[in-house]
Amino acid sequence: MTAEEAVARVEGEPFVQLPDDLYIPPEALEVFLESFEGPLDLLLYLIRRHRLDISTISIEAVARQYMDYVELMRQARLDLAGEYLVMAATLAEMKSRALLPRPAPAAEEEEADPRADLIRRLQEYERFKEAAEALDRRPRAERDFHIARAAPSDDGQRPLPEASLSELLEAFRGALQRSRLHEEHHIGSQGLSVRERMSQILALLGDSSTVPGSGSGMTEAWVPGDSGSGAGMTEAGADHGRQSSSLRLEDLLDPSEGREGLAVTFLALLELAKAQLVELYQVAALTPLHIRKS
Amino acid sequence: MEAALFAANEALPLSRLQKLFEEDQAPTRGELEAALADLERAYADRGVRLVATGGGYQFQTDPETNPWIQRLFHGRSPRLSRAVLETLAIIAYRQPATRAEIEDIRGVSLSSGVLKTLTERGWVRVVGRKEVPGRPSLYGTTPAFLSYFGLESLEDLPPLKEIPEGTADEWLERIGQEELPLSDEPGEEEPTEEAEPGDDE
Repeated sequence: MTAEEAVARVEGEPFVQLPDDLYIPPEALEVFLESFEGPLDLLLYLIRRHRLDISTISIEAVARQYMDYVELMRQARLDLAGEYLVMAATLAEMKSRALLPRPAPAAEEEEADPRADLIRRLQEYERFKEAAEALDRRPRAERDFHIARAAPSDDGQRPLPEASLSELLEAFRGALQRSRLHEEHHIGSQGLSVRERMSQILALLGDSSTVPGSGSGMTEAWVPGDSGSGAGMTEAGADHGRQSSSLRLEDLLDPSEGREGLAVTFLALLELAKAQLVELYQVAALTPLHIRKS
Repeated sequence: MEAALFAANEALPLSRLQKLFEEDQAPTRGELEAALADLERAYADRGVRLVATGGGYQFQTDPETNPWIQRLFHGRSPRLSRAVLETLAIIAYRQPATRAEIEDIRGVSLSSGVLKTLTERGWVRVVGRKEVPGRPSLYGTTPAFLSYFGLESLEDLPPLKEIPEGTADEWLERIGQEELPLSDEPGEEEPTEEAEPGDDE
């Protein structure tokens, strides 16, 4: 602004330039800074304001200003979106790269402009910012014209439908039926315990030791297959109730216990084997598995 | 048809107008178009006009009556915030777009308030999911968006400004010398539509 263009006079002198140490009260600053839609928006504004001679380190000057604004925002205790800080870090990185001495680029290559990515983002944002402004300027409903509509006639109260007694009973019956579908199932505590089964197996093998944690010291003598299924029982299984030094796997599995029983037995065997209390062995491949005390 | 166009909540396309009739009595598209042209002519000088918009037809008030009609609605309609407009523009031009793509362009997170405003107004809806890990929602604009903004179709959107060619320095120089458009001056925002404060967090 030249002296002729001055819009005000301070102490008789034309006021042409903001003083460097102008104090902006925090509330005004807050309004100013909050009107940016994010770091890209702020950067675009700073670049436009910049109007200095452009040189390869112009980003550095802009970066410095950006940091100043971010610092001001922090001091004004504005809630800074994380993106502002990410941008500050990006600019700091670019600035430091510009300042570091660079090795001379190979003869043919163009050095990639480190600002290229940021510039691209700024350009892309600018396109949509302008598109948004263009959209805003278009004549639009509720502002420049209104949609003409004939309000439908049942805007008022709808008459309540009538219901008969039979419909009411039907609805109730339906509700009862549906409630049965939502019955809860209570899961009881496990009927078979792995540890108990481990003790039982050991007992069958002639080991009177019990597995800790299997409940009372006395485990019920467990005779697999006693419930009369008979399936899978062999002559060796005629040793019911008698302790033997080795058992066949099949003799231990009792289908009548269901899948839970089979799983529990299997787990018990694995645990016993892991504890090295029993050995599992086979005479040859594909022959029955035997279990014996170790 | 006049009755249907007045009673409907949105711009009606030809197909829906046709469906108003019993199958064996339905007029052809040509007959419908001729009738609509008649209707358009009949209303040309009235306070309410028949307008082709959003892929269909709708009765709208003559914009010249606006200064008076606005008083029916207790003053100016609220301005749309820049966040809402920018997000809407991105979705309109780049649809289908994911939240991440929108955030990438704007450089800030997309607040749920903005998306809520856009969906509640019926301008934006989920059109699918992107088949990438996480399967994020894809957003697109609706016909209601078109008629609200006076667009016949998406083709009517003004073309995006070109990405300038040339080097970064050239762009920086040009930008630095452009006069700052008035709308760029911060602090000019009037009260906006957002219900929630702290919109862009």
